[in-house]
Amino acid sequence: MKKLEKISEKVGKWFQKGKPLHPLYPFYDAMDTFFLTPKTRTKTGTHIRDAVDMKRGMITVMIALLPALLFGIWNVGYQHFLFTGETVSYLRMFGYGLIKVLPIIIVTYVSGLTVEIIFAKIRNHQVAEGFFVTGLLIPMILPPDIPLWIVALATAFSVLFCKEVFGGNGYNFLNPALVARAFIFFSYPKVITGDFVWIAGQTDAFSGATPLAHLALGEVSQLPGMMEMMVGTIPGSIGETSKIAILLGAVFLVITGVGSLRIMLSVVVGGLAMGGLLNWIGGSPIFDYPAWQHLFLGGFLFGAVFMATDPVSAAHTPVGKVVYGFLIGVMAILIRVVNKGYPEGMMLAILLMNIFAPLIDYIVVQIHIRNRKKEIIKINNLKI
Amino acid sequence: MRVDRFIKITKGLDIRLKGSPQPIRTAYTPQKVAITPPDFKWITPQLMVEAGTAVRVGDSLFVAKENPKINFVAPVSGTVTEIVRGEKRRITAVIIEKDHKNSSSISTEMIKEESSEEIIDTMLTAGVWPMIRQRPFGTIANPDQRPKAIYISCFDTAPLAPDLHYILQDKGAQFARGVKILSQLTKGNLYLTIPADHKPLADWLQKEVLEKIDTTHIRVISFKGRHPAGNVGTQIHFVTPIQKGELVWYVDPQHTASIGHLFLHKQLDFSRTVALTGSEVKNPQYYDTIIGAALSDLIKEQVDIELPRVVSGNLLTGRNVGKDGFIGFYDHQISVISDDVQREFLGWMTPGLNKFSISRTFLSFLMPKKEYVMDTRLHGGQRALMFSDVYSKVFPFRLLPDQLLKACIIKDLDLMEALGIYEVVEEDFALCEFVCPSKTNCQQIVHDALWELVK
Repeated sequence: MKKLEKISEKVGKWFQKGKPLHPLYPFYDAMDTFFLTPKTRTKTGTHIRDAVDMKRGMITVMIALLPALLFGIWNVGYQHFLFTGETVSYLRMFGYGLIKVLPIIIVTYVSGLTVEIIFAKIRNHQVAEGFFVTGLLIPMILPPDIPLWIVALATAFSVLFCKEVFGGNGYNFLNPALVARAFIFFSYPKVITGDFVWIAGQTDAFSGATPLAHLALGEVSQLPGMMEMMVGTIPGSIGETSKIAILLGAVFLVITGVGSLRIMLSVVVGGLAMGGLLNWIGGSPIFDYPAWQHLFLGGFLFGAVFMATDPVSAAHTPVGKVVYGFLIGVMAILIRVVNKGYPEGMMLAILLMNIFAPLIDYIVVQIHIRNRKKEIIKINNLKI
Repeated sequence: MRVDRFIKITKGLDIRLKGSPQPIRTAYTPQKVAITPPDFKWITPQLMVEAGTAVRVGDSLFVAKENPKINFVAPVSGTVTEIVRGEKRRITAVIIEKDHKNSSSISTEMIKEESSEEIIDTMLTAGVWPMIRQRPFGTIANPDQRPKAIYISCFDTAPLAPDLHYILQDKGAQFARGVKILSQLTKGNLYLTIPADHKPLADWLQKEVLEKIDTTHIRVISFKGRHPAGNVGTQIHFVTPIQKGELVWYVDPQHTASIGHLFLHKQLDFSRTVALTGSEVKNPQYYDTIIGAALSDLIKEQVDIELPRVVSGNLLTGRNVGKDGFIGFYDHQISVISDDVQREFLGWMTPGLNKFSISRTFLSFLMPKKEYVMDTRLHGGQRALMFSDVYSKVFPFRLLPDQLLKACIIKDLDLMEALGIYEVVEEDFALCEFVCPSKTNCQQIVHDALWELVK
């Protein structure tokens, strides 16, 4: 390690104040602390600290995303060759998917990190790790054939207007990955909606409709089987199709304590409740679609596990989290079923509740303050 | 054993470290002794001595500018050798070179205990008043006011904390007298708090204290739970929560014995037993010494490494006093860990079998009994507050720690009050600071917020 430390010190000299490379110092600092744990020691307050830091937290989320991402990459190839009719090996399917997906990931990172580093320099702070997760989430919620320039634009827009203008990592009130997707959704709807974007390399107007699109049209009979939806061999956004892979990630997040089980469960309960209500109303195939099956359609599960649980944009109080999650579930299913123009309700539901999260927290805090007053009176009456 | 109430605390964290003190006692007589003003929160010392002044035990060294009645006295007889000043010429230590005369300024006529006013006057002139602290704010108690309750926490749950029963076992008579004296200072109750799982302490308390004094206004509360169950702040919160305008006093048990000694033997007793603990100490054990004893000889004897972090107090709330420092006025523990921080290759990616963390992101969570060697590493850079459910795992108060801390950051006084700022001081947020993945300096934030409130 000493050798590496010396190299880092040597290289670091070029980035010191007054040296030509100084404007790139945040980049050096990010690289330096990437390879070697920082040398900083405690000064005031506690003399020892828990070993966990933001880097560790973020890498945990990235690991949780891996199963869904790897399956997604393979599925891009699988869907393509299913469409062309060729029979190829699994490895080639994965290879094809990699060629499609890797550029999207690289473009996302380059675009987002450029903005991050510029702002780290202006604000004179370290590059925060939050974007490493966002940069992986964005490709996973996009269709495989998305033009790269749109990815770059959307990412830059999201980092700039959703995060940096509010003060950077930890101060945003919307989920940056979903803002990027919403940006594309409203600015370039052709590349992210309809039946023709979900299969990579699709050349003619063969309908590769997602299950959600079928549902929106009331073609329940055309929906793929439950098994296919669980495994994920269906057209859709890159990372959202395999429910098994997403659940694996969810288990990992819950065990490590990084993801909030409270939010995940509340979203599911909210979805079931709204779905149940719509079932009870009934009257059309889409209203009658069983509530529990809604959970496995589209981005519902992906959103519940990886998007709604974003600690920054979610509600911050324990009770608030339950309300926040529940309302996401309700809104997602409501938008999905009632508004046929936006079959993917999850994105809008989460963004909407992101906006309401501070209000939910405010109400919870006010109730807490009132209850605490009563509690103190009760304790004082104990008289021991 | 009489227990008036049992309280179970479900949240908290025991940090399992190497270097707990073994039950061995050695006498340690230091050459130099110092009273260090930074121990006394928000006190500006007004010097009564200068370098070269000869002092007896009980002679005033300085008084508080804020309230000149509060008197800080020499714990030993000797000569003032140095007045150390730190940043902005603040006095950081008044150092006394000890002689062997042991002469005292206290005379029998000075000690009066007819009424609570007399007791307070005696304590102020004798210089034991600073031993009583108050909540809110954790400052030295104001002698012109009376509290609604007084607390003596007879156990400490901090990392590597000493066993207070082991320390106190020979001081039963003084402790009992101290409890009796203190209980006369409040119209409310005096609470003695004990851990639920320490039978020898409970028996000792029953036999040496409760059976010997009038216990009408004395209550014994038993606590079960992890750190910070032993912190007086946690105990007050569950038994007599503090609201705006209310006062609670608290005294350390060894100080209680010192106060008792004053009234029992008409003499000042500043002796104190401290535990020398930590992974870098060769033989962690107890030392019978004096308040403010110089540490340099002890450290030379017990610590080998080049760059130790010597902390007076525990590792969560103590003060970095350095190799040549002195034992803090309120501390019964010295902790020594390594300050020599090594960089680690791809540290965020390693499985982390030897890393202590409350999050289960390191594999060490599979070994719930392992004891760790920790150094002063910050383990990462400072970030904005992001994860919102970390503090609540270690913060036993029925308050909202995240929201309270944020109110402190923005200095919104009304919100702070509503969220219970009067119930906490810095040390109550120490565990939050320890576990914070954003490496926030919670204690400093609370400190600044409290100052904003009194200003």
